[in-house]
Amino acid sequence: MRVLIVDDSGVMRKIVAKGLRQAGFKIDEAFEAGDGVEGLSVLADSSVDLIVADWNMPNMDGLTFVQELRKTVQTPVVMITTEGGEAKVSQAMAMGANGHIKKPFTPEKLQEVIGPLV
Amino acid sequence: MSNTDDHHARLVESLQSTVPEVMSTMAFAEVAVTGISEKPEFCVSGPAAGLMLLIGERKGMVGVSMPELLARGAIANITGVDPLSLSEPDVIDGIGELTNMLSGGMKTKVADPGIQLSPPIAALGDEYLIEWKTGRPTTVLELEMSGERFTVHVCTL
Repeated sequence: MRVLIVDDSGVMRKIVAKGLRQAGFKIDEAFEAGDGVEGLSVLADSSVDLIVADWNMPNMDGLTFVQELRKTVQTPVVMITTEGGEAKVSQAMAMGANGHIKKPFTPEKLQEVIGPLV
Repeated sequence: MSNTDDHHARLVESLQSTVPEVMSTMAFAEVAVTGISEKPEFCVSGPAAGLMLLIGERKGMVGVSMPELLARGAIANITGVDPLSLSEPDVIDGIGELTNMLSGGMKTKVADPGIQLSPPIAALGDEYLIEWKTGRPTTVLELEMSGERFTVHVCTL
């Protein structure tokens, strides 16, 4: 599986990659981006099977990123954040996100949410 | 007990369970709460420290302070990276993420829509003291992880 992890924290990108492997997903290639603008740039050059995106990021936040990428890409998108407000979750899903996971998360939670999408 | 005092007590209670849960889930580390104390001001020192402001209807600050080696160990566990290969920016980034996860867990448990969190602030260094002058007392949770002590601070306005 090729995955794009979009998060302004390099540590969180590593946490997500490690969590996906622990959840049993076979990661053939993990692309990383520090914000939504970088994420769109990666997607312009590479196709991926899954996108995991943070919510709060500089330059382009996760919600705008999802909105923009949905103009051309239908890859499953899962948002990971500490902000668990129902309104925001609804907003993300309305913009095209396929799932939402709150930090801290377990490999089991990643499998539960992402498993059906890939 | 006033509404503000009740709110503060709920944050403290939430942190007491959130910190061990987050460290166990993300860093695979056992954490024990060894004490709780009240301080007259919000003061956090290093070497590794993280802060998050409560910026919604409810105002306040959550702080984390721990030895650098303990921070490196926790960050290494949650990322799968060797602790000694973590760069200084990695450690600062990781302290911020730990603080973010602890504060986020607290917010989720309290389930108060009046709580909004700022992005995390992180610091790493030998000698410094971060002081937030509010005139309000701060509750300090004293914790132990891997035989090392660290503290979590919460102050509400």
